[in-house]
Amino acid sequence: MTLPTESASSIHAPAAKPGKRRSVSPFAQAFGKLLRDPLALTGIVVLSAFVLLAIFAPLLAPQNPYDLSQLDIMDGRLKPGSESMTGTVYLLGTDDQGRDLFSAILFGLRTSILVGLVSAAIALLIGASIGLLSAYAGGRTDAFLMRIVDIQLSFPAILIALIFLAVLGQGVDKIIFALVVTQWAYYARTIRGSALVERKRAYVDAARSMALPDRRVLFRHILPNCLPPLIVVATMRVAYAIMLEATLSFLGIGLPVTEPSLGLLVSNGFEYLLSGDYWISFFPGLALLILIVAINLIGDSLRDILNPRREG
Amino acid sequence: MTNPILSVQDLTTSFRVDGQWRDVIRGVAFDIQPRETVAVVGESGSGKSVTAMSIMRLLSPANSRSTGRIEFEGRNLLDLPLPDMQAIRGNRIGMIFQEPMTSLNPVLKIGDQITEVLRHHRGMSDAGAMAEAARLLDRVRIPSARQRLGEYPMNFSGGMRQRVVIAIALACSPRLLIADEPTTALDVTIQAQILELIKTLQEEEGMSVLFITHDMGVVAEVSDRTVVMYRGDVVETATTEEIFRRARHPYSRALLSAVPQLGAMRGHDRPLRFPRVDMTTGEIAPPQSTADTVRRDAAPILEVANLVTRFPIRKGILRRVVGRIHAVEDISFELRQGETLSLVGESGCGKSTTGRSLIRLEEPTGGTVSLNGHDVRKAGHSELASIRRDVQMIFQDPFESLNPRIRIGAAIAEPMIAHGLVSRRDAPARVAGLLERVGLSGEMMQRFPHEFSGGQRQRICIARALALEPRLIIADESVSALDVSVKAQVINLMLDLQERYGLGYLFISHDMAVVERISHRVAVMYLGEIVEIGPRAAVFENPRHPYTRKLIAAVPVADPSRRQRRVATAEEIRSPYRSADYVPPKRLFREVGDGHFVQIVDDEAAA
Amino acid sequence: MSGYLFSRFLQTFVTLFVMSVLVFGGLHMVGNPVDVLLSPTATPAERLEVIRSFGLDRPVWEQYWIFLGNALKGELGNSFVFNQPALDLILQRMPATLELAVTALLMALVIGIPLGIHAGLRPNSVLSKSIMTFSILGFSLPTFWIGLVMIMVFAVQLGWLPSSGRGETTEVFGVPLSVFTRDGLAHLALPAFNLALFKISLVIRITRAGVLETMQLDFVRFARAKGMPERRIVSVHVLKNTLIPLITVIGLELGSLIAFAVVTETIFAWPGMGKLIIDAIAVLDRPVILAYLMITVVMFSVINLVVDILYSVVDPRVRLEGK
Repeated sequence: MTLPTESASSIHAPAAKPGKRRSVSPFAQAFGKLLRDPLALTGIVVLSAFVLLAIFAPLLAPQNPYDLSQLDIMDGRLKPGSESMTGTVYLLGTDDQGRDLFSAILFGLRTSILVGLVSAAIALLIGASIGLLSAYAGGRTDAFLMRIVDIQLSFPAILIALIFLAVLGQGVDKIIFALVVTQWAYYARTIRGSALVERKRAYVDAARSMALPDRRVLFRHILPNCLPPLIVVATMRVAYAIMLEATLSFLGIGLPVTEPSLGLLVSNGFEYLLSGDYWISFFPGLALLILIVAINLIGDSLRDILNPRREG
Repeated sequence: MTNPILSVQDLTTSFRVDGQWRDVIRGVAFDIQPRETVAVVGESGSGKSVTAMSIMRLLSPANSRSTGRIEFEGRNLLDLPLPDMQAIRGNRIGMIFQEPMTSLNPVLKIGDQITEVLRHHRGMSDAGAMAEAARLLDRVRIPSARQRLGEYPMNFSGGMRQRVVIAIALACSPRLLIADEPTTALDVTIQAQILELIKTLQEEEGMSVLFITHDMGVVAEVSDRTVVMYRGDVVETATTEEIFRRARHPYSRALLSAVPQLGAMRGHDRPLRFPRVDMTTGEIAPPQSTADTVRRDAAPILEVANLVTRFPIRKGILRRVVGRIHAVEDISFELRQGETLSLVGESGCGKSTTGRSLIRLEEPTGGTVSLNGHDVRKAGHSELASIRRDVQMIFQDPFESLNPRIRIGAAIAEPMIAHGLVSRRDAPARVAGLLERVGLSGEMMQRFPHEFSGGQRQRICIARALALEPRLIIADESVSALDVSVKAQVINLMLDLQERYGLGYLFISHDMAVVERISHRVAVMYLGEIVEIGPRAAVFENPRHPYTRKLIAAVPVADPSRRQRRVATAEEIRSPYRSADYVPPKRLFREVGDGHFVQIVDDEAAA
Repeated sequence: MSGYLFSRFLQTFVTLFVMSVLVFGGLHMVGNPVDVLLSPTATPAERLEVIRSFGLDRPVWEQYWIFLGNALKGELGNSFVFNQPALDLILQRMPATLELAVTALLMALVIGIPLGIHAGLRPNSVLSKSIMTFSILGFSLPTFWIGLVMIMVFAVQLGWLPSSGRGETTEVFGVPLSVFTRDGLAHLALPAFNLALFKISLVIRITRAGVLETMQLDFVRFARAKGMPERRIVSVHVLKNTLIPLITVIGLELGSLIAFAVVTETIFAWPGMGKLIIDAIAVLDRPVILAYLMITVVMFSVINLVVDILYSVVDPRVRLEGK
């Protein structure tokens, strides 16, 4: 070479060091960074614990809170740590119907996580498809779809969910539907935004100029590069969906009374709050809070890692 | 000698990276005399900008520190308390930056951005400051200055914004102006205007200028003395004449030998490689001449006739077309096997759109494009795919044109596998061969793009383009983003590959000197049209169209003995936007030499 | 500009129409309000009489047609439950909700912006890190739950503030407001803060991100090179660029606060329109639900319009056009 190595003359990227092991993909790098962030790691550990608790709730819970025959009204509103007539300890006390709160919370977590994840997954699938279609089609289709997204996003999620539940009634399937309706637009807008940016980038031009099939350009080149912002949005949205479900249940228009979710448990304890029986409302809400904080810690860290703008 | 205005002694600046302090510049020393222009020149990573920022103390104190002495008006700037330093900035020392588009606050009026300096440093009243601001805009030759004070930056073009920035920097009649790559982001004719403006103002104000640049042409044009920096060290300081005549340090020589000089191709009829420099002795080996690669006997591989590409601008609820960008307007040319045709022009002239229209990355509005006898515009899906195999494209930004999530081996193999040229199993061997052909090693194929430097990535892009064994490569500003020395290497590689495979190149570039170096034929574009096309020697040595002449005259020549003064004008580059009902006039050409055509200039002449 | 306004009005009418069809049809399918309203002992004759009086015996499209005709005259029907015009019911309760939402918004801005600016200017300080940790917490707190905890602590345990109701109000231009009496303020404090908590975190994060990003921009470096003191750079150059995008957020969030007031009003027994809609949903009081919806759609459209116009006034780069 005529000049000193060209790596020296580029400050943008360090030249590859010779003899280096198989290098790490950007996704693996991001995951590594996530694990090195103490807050995110806390979030991951707590979330994993909650998910395990939720999955194995039927094995772990001392009582099936949905089986009314197991409940004894005589055990109603017992303080945390009290013993039942039959001798089992109510770790976190009981509600007005004599339901063991610890068991109820475990089953409540099950519902919360299920509703949060399933609604987010469906909303993501629908939203991402519409967003991609919008970005890909462009023109009038794009303008029309994005107008709908804009209008929908100018209405608060809770309002739309309220209306849909008013129309649909109660039930897990109904609330999942309502949450999907309120959330898909966020995903659509996110992925359309990043797809438009990515589509204009030179590597896409390069792929097209090499005459790669459109499908391949879309799914192998554009889509993977759109994922980082989508992942961040999805994390935050799962947390929000869980919160929204709890809120709607609290308002009495989410899940039926026979299968109390965390929001409904809080609502049940409301009337006893002023008389000092705090635990019925307090513990389910606390569990909800910890779950949401854990997800948001991960989301926050992901946002910092996946958003390159922060650096520099 | 009189006392220097600025004296930099043993300046060392370190950055904290991942908790460790690392020197970025070491022991930098130079003086600037009154009324003198000193250029600091170097490639990226040389530390030239860090030097300028250190003098102004603009680096973040949290993760950078400077030691040494920077003497200005009898005081060491490095020791000054911050308020004293702020009283010097913008007042005794003015500074301008590279990016005129982002140097001004988008939500403040131009007037406010000028007057805040006057009010702060010179304690002027609001009314007085406004009047002075108008005078300043007038001095930087902004037409109807007074009215423009109330406008926002978005109403100004890049060149005009840089004038505003200069007006602000000179508002308090500083003794020293630090110009950090002030013309790098500008088109060449605008660059000529701004350089001229700085020179004129320097004479009028009697100030000194510290000019930071990577462009040897600019250095030769403006500076009295030159400081050459390389990887954080000053390797040579001398008068500009001396540097260009008899540079002592091998790096300075290498740098100069990699700079194409406009007009240096006189007497050569074929493209010329860049010379190689021995880095220990500083010996320069004369460049190898290229073989005659142009296949004049066969039919051209690319024939373009009356190509038109327009972009509609829509507005309103009904998305009515209110106007069109006439990006490419009725252009025709042909390109033979083994030939390099350059499309040259300034931003917005349509040269890139032309390249993209040829393989329908943009859909042309009219005309015909014939590649290897296939009609590109009529081609169906599968025919287009086979056409695209024969034509490959290399883009400007090597950081952008590789998918960051795909290993480079897979990236190079992808088109070969997709077109069934090679099986998945045999691909690695082919990829390794291609990587070696562009001067990289086959072991690198497991790496991701971010692990390579800019020049290496551009080599990877070339390897990928070669994978489909194309006959024509469209190189869209492919070497523009590279450092001079890397640029020279990549161009040498491209010339090697042309000899070896008989490749045709459509070389799209704004850089006149590079174009002169590597082209067989040249087409000059202006506002979407080709205004002049012909053999390289004819176009460069005997330019006939006024715009071609203006373009050539605007290029700073990397030779201080050919320094020229120009008239400081404030012309702007015109926009190819036209109203919806615009009908472009039919252009006629005159043949002024063998294959040398010039657009006949009518009354409302382009340039 | 006129094209812009026209397209905005068109959009609002289309939204109103689509929403009303959806809800009208949906409510019709879901159940008969008569079942909820009538006592189980009512005779079939009584039942028929009620159905006829509400016009529920006609086909649904005809019912909708009548509703549409009345709506254009500004009549949205009588509440099935209260037997009063639904519109009046909502308008009576609107000031309370707006007062709550606006107070919460102001709280969010007054607390959130300074904290966000600090966190943006000194991202690595201990205080900034605490602010950001607090904001994650604020983001995650379920509004209804933290409302209960607040009642538990400030009303039940400490006895500092009342836990429910609106307190004493004064009439300002005929609109009852709480903010001008001591008692009213005491009643407003907890619900407003409860509602604001989530938004405080949001404002902090948006402001911080804006400041961080703006501080990196070239014109800030150029302002430093002009010798401008840091205070002016922050207060003029950075703030203006950071706060302009906040206008959009404020508009959207005011809407969201009005909607989320449903929760806060339920907890603190605040007599606003959120409480009304929840009760209306429980008994399928169609006229009230529809009226609430119409009113909110119009209200949000007005808010969005004001925000857009404001934005174009403040930011020179934005031009309104009917798209």
